[in-house]
Amino acid sequence: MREQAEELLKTMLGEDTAFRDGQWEAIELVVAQKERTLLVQRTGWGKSIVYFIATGLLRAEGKGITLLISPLLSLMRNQIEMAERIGTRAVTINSNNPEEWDAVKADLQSNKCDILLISPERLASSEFNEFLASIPGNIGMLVIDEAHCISDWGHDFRPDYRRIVGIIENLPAGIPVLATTATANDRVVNDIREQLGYDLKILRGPLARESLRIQTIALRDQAERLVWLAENIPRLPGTGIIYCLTVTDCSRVATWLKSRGLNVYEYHAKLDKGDRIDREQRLINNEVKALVATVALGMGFDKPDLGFVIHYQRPGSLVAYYQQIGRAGRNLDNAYAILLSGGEDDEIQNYFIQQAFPDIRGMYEVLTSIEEADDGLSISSMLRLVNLSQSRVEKCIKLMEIEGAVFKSGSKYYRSTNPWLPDEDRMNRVTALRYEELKKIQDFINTDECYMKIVAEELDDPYARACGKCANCREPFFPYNIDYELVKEAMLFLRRCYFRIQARKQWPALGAGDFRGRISAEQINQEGRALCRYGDAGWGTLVRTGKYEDGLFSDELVEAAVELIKDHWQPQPAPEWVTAIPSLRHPNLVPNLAQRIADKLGIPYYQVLTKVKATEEQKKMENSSQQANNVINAFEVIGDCPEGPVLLMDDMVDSRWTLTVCGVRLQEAGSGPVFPLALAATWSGGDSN
Amino acid sequence: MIKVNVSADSQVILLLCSNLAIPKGMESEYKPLTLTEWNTLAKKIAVSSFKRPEAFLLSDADKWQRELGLDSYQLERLAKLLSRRGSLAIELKRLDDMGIWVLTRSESMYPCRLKKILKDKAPAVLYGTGDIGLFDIRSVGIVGSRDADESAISFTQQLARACVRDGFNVVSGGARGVDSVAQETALVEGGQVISVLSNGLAAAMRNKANREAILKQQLLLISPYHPQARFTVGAAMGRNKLIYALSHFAVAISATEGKGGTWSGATENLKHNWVPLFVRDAEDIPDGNRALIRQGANGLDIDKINERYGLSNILSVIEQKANKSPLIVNKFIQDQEKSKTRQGSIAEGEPTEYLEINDLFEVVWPYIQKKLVSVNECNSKKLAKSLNVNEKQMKDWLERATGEGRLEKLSRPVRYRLINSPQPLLFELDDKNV
Repeated sequence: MREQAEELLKTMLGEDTAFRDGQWEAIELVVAQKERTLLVQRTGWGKSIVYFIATGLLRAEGKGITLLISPLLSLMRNQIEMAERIGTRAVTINSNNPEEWDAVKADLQSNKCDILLISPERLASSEFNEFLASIPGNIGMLVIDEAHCISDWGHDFRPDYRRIVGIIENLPAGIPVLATTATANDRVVNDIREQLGYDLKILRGPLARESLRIQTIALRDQAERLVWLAENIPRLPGTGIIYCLTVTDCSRVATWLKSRGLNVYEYHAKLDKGDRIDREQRLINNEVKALVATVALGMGFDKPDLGFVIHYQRPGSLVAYYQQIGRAGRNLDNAYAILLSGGEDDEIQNYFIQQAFPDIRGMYEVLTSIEEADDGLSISSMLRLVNLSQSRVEKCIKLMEIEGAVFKSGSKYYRSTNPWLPDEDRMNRVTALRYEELKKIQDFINTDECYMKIVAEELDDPYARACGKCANCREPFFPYNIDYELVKEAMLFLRRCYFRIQARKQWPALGAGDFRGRISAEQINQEGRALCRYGDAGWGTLVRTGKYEDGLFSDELVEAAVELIKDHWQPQPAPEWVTAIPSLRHPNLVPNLAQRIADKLGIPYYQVLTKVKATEEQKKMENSSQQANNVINAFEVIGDCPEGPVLLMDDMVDSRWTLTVCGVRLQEAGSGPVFPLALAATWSGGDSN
Repeated sequence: MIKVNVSADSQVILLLCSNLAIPKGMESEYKPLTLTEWNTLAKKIAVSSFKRPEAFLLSDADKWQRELGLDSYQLERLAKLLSRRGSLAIELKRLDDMGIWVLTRSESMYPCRLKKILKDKAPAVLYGTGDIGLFDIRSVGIVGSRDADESAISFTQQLARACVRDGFNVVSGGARGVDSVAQETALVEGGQVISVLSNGLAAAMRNKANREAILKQQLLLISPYHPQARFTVGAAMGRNKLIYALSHFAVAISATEGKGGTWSGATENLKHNWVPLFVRDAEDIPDGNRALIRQGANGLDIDKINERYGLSNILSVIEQKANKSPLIVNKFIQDQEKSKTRQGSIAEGEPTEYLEINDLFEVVWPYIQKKLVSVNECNSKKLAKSLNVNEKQMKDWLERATGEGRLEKLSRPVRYRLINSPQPLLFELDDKNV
């Protein structure tokens, strides 16, 4: 069989290729001995060669297709391309390509393909399983890519991966299973073994990346880091990735660097598929200096000559950090991994940790709503019944689905007949571990030991040793200082990062008050603006002190808002008067602000809106349906309403329902187009839709 | 609740005998074995070097041919069925997510009464949801009909209450009429019900009341058919035998002579002599009931049911009778004697071989009972000595009988007495039926 495998390898990669250490051993274990195997090898080692060759051998024996489970669409895309390069046909069925499903099915049923890639969610669909069952030979081998996603000790636990565990438990012998990962420490490996069965064979190689040169640099705030990037990116060799923690940060960093003449693009999950592919391609072809990306540019992105990875903010753990820097220098002798960090990093990480598990009260609320329903419940009906944001509801459902308490059929969820209790201990243990990991990477910033050795030890790499290449083993590569003149500019830049307030176009799924369906053209708001994001670098902190400490917004904020309107936004038709959202809690705060802005703009201010009933604070309403219904009958226009276009002021915007409802009331009363303006956007609990 | 695992043997039986993971429109390509075909194959497996069904998984068609002497048509059919391993695993996981478990005849958790009474007519695969522990509790089957009059319903309610009072499960068919009255009454009274469905489980599980009762471990739904299967008359007939076989005795409420499910089920039971059959007896009963009594079923009037321990008495009488004549219990012991002398593995196809493993108590109980009848009351030491078992074992049995309401425990000194020691026969039991 080895000859046959080597033959295949040569057809795939060329006459002069041979197996790398361990590749043949893995293939043999899986194909000949039908063992369930976990392969832990660093990225770029060639794990995919193992399952491509194994598939080839099994198909030659007349076995069924290889089912490859992969967590991300971008990863699947790369794997399919790689398969094509070596002459294996791989196809995918996922939520993004329903138009291709029929063709894919036909190809699989007529034996024209060897590998089917899916995300684990697909395994819950009865239609998918029907289809799988119709493929001749069914499944010949099961491959679980990025197997660390099975373990909630891992840095990237994905609840849907748990589904695989239940399937393997029931999988009759004779179907080989291969799980692969590049980032698993002992704790995760043991957890995977516990889940996939104690007969799991483990093959493990060294994980340290020899070409990487690590340096960490702590800077005070975002402005300083923007300056560091602007000064140092031109000095870095080749092209690279700049990782940020949030989409907003990606946009900001990319915009700033572009303004400094650097050729960079942002990259995150909010871009559409075409843009993402296009930007990946530009990076691969070295047509851009860098992509400023969230972790959406991640697993499976394969560019052998990536020159650097910079972290604009600190990741949550050393394992995540290892995985991200591992994308640099795969085929280079030298590549840089620079970890910047600063004040807001911990705040963001704490938020991520706290958000990881839905709270238990919420889960019971969701479960009860499903339990009480006569014939299942859709998500939109659930949102009416429980005061939780859509993303929280979805998170609760996901967890309970994986734990067998509820199941999905069509678009509805049903209570199963499995007894269920939330596993609080497990959640607490995982949360405690996340804080421990956070502590380790905090310490990492200030260590004087070898950086790579610390990372390898965190991965329980038996081959861990001082690398002799990092900033601690040698001299720092890049300066810790920056040009403070430029910091002022960066500060100014951060203050001009405005936010667009898109008009709401639809009433909530089940209506609000008497309103249903689309919001009519006569009553819809115009696009609006928010000066900043609440609490953020820039204006965010001034908004907080204005609202909660001084009871008055400062002149700086008034100036900033006027600058935004006059110089950057310039709404058309230009507003002829100003009004403000009334509040029973702070009756003068926003009217005072609106009056001052109106004076500066030289147009009149009229308080035509009044609040006719007390409402709960909108920020306590957790989803769109609840928010809309909370305010739908709360506002009225009293007296005559002026006719012209109007600027509608509020201090904060969250769900946009208050602005939407007031816009409707104003236009019903005869005003012109309504332009909403808020000092700060919170987007905290509200649905973003 | 106990988790039901799927062993390698079960995986093979599911691949060969169930229609799980057979896609719509491909039923002609994938033909699961009928029960008869499987019984034949199971016997071959048991005497071959395979010994167990799981051997199929790590061998190829050549070996199947060599070891089992199958023809090419059969080989191809088996290969096809066994190829759907991945899809089977995915399907089992999906069922598990819904709360449905699957049992095959090769599992020790498979209800032993089905194997004991139905022998190789016991379905190879059973789908269920709910607490599998309910199989271990003594049970009364309550059958038909769908269109019950007032007195039938009233009788059913009293019978279901008596079941709860005397510590019996109700076994019923989950249809409207008598079935659902029996089920609802027992559940309201806090009792336990095994509902044997003639269609798939999925529909019944969507019913809120059912789901709540399942989660409270009061209701066990089972079916020999695919969870998504729809009702057919044939299926209803097929599941009737399960209602009887799961019961220690059955009560028919209303039957129409010569037609309907209640009639055919009851006569089938009489013919095969599965379990003792009682028929509601009163002045206004339908002709079908009288006809069943003429054919050998025992009449049952409401007073007997309403007596405290009435149902326990009925069971005691049955078991006493069983003790004396060539009856089920004895027959069962003989079966074991036979199987002991036989060599070979415990292949799945021979259900009787598992029987004694599950519960010896019902075998020894009549002997303990007999001793107690003769002495009125007795302590555990004497009883143990008189039956030649160690005292600890005897104590366990006596405690259990006390817990089930069969014995009364007296103190200072500790001794046991039969509750309602069987009086002169309560009704005429027909040996033919018992």
